[in-house]
Amino acid sequence: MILLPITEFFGRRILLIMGTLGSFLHFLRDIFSWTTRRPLRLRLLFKQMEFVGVKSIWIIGLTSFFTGAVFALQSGYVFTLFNMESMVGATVGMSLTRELAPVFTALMVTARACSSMAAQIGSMRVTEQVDALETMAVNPVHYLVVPRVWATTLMLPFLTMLFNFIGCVGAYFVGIFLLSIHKGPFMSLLYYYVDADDIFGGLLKSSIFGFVIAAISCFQGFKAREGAAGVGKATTQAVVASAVSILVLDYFLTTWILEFISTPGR
Amino acid sequence: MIEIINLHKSFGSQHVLRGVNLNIPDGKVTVILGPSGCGKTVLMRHIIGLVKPDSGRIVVDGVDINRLSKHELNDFRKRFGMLFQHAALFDSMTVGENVAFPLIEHSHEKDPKKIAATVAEMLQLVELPNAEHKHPDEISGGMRKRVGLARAIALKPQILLYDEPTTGLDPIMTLTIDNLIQSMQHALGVTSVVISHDIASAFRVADQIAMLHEGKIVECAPPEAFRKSKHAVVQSFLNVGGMS
Amino acid sequence: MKYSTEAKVGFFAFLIIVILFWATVRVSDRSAVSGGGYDVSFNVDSASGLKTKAPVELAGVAVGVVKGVELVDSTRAKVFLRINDHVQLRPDTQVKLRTRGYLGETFVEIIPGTQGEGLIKEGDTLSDATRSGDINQLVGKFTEIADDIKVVTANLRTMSSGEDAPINRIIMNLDRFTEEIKNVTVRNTDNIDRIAENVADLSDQLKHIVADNRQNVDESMDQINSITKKIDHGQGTIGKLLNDDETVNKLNDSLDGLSDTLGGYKSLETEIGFHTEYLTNSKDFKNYVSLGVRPVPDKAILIDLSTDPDPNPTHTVRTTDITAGGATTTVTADTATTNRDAFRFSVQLAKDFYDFTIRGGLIESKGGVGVDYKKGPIGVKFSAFDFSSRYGQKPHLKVLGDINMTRNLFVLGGADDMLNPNQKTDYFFGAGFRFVDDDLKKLARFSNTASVFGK
Repeated sequence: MILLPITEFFGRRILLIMGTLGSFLHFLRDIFSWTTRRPLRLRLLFKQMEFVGVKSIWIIGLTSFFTGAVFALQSGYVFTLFNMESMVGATVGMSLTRELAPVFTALMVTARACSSMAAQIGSMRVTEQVDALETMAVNPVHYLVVPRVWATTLMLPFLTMLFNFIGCVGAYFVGIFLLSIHKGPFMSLLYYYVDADDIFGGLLKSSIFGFVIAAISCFQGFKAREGAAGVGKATTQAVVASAVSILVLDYFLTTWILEFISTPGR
Repeated sequence: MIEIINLHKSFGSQHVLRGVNLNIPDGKVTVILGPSGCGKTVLMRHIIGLVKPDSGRIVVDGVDINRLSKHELNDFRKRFGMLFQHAALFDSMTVGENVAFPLIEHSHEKDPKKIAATVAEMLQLVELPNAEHKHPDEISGGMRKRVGLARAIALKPQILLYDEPTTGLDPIMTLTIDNLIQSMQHALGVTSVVISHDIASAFRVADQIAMLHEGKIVECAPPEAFRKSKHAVVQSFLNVGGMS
Repeated sequence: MKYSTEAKVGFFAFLIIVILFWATVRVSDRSAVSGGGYDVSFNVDSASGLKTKAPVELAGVAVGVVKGVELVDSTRAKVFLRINDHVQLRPDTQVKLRTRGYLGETFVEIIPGTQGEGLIKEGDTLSDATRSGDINQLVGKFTEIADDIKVVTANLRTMSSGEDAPINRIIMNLDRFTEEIKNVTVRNTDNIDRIAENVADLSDQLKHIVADNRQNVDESMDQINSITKKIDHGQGTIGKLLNDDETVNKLNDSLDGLSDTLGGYKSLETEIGFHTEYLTNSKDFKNYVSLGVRPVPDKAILIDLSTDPDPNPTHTVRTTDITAGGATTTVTADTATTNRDAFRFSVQLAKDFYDFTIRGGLIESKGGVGVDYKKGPIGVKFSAFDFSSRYGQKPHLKVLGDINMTRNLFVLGGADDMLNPNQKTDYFFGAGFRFVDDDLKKLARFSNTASVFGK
């Protein structure tokens, strides 16, 4: 008898989680079914691509430069112990292309763009603007979500590539000027160990991150209820859920990408 | 002609609509009266298909809107115009863009100049000429509602839904909105459904008044007959409003 | 300047695609992704430490990569290699796994073969020459040898024990044999003495023959001596030839000349290229095909062929005397003709000073001079030509900057004809490629394969 409240508590929890998951999958289905419907709203897509992609250039440039620089600095100190400083370039390059760039870019875009998507859609939801769209025979998923999700899916690989590039520039500066590594071995080992598959695997990963974080953020925005507090809650949840899914998804995607795309044995 | 047949709706443990039956005639203004929180807005959301009922049907011009697919329902909504309680203007757009929005989305008119002309005409109709370039957060609540109305009528809908059009407005603005509802009625010949708890306003605009109480329509009659209703709930509501 | 949303997104996407393309080309340089080459494999007892993309070397030169390692028959490892196309291997070629470097990097060394008909081709299997230094194997070998020794010594023991043992019998036989020989020698003592006498006689006669001919040998030696003396003093034709200083100098000179010529050809460098410029003002393309020949490292002959969509007009002046009614009027007609898409050619001599190149000659069919600056992948070229000013024309100036994207591809931009009073400065941008000797050889080789980017 004493167990009853406990089972009830967990039962409700599980029902809530399953219900949210179910409605999220329903939401994903809506995204796909509205994607191909006319009008294609390319203007909105481009607007969102500008918002997610072009306007993130500075923040991505800044974070990537320092990520590459710090990583070079740390690995440089360790490699000095083994007289292997010239491996710094290769280490930073491989870590960036395979892991750091896709994950960090997705996290930065979550913080900058996806939080604002959740907040914007959330406030449109609580002020009935979403309903207004619907009464004007404009599907909100079609009008608000589809451009955002695909713009993020498309732009994240571009931002990730920028992250790769500027991150390597940062590592180069630290490596060549601070750690006094010879640039010949630094660059040749970088080119040697980094593979085109690493780059493309990372870009594929980032594209999937882009889809997931934008979908989660829009979904949280749609779920927002009860005024400004609801919007704030939706935004927080969007950021937390996006960040967690990036990290969890990264593990699985990495496993699969290593399995099917990258060359085996490394 | 909108027929609402035995409509039920619950949210969790709350049974909001408990068998609503109502006929809304074409070309007339029907006011649905009731205290706040009695489910009026829920009922209106059912009419336009924003909410799906637990049971019961809503038939608009012979079409059961709950049997339509998502995409058919989307098309069907082009017959409706709705004015939201807080106008629900898109705050990322100017007033002009708000009014132009349904035109750009749905009319076959692609010429920006002609769209601009229609927008000006609509704003003229709600007595807000030359407000195109204002931003929604620069204008007063009454003006926002009028812009919302201009947006709702931009596509010349057959049915206009007003959600609490006079709530939160000063008496003069209330009068202006009431006049607008009537002039829309005369100018466009639309079927209007007004949700309100403002009795005075209801009597000014209505051709038919329905009273929603505890999830049911307890009385439905033209204004004069409604005033003389024998129903206790109606009488007490009117008494509180000082109308009898 | 306000850019449209699409333009911003487009610029950004374009920039990233350029970076991606560049990065892919750079990192793919050593991998098999870029295509080309053929696949071979070999079986080895242990591929321990060998990783995908490990280098394959022949005589210390990287000629391919390891594509993969897999297990065959649950007993051995099969290693797949990709070898560059131009590496030709004989059928008896062997491979060996080796390690080097601080990380103990394992790589594959190819020991080229010398025998056999035909060449190794796609899908062939090479044989493994790895001498495994496995300690277990060594211990095994030692055990085998020890066993053999044991057998031998055991046999020895049985052979030498007892009176009848084989070894003892051999010793007794030897004893008897020497006894016999002694007897034979004693019996033939006379015969042996006679033989010794004969031999002494023969050697005495030989001594006399040699003494009799001493005179002849001395004469021959004298004659040879006299001939060489004559040659030394310049007597006779050969002597003159050999002893004349002038001849020697001439010969030396001509040999020097020959080696210069040969050396010159050895360092002769040829460069061919093509580039196109889009003139933003004229809204037209200007194409260049160029050939550069560099007989010595710091001098060059540059030949360009170009189309000019918007040249300066050529003027034709014709003076005609018209006599009408006794009065003569001179009419001068000045016709300016613009021949669009005319072919222009440039032939210039160039000389390098450090990073600068001064050049002069015909530039776009007009006389002109220019100076170039080149540092790393960046180059700036300035030309001035067509100095004719008869019709108020100003000299034609052109500034061009180019950046090498890869060894062969470059992009460029600049300004053309800044002084021309008839039109605004024509800014242009464009791209092109150039190949020098090595690339040309490579191109020739790759002309029947898929990629230019491969090794």
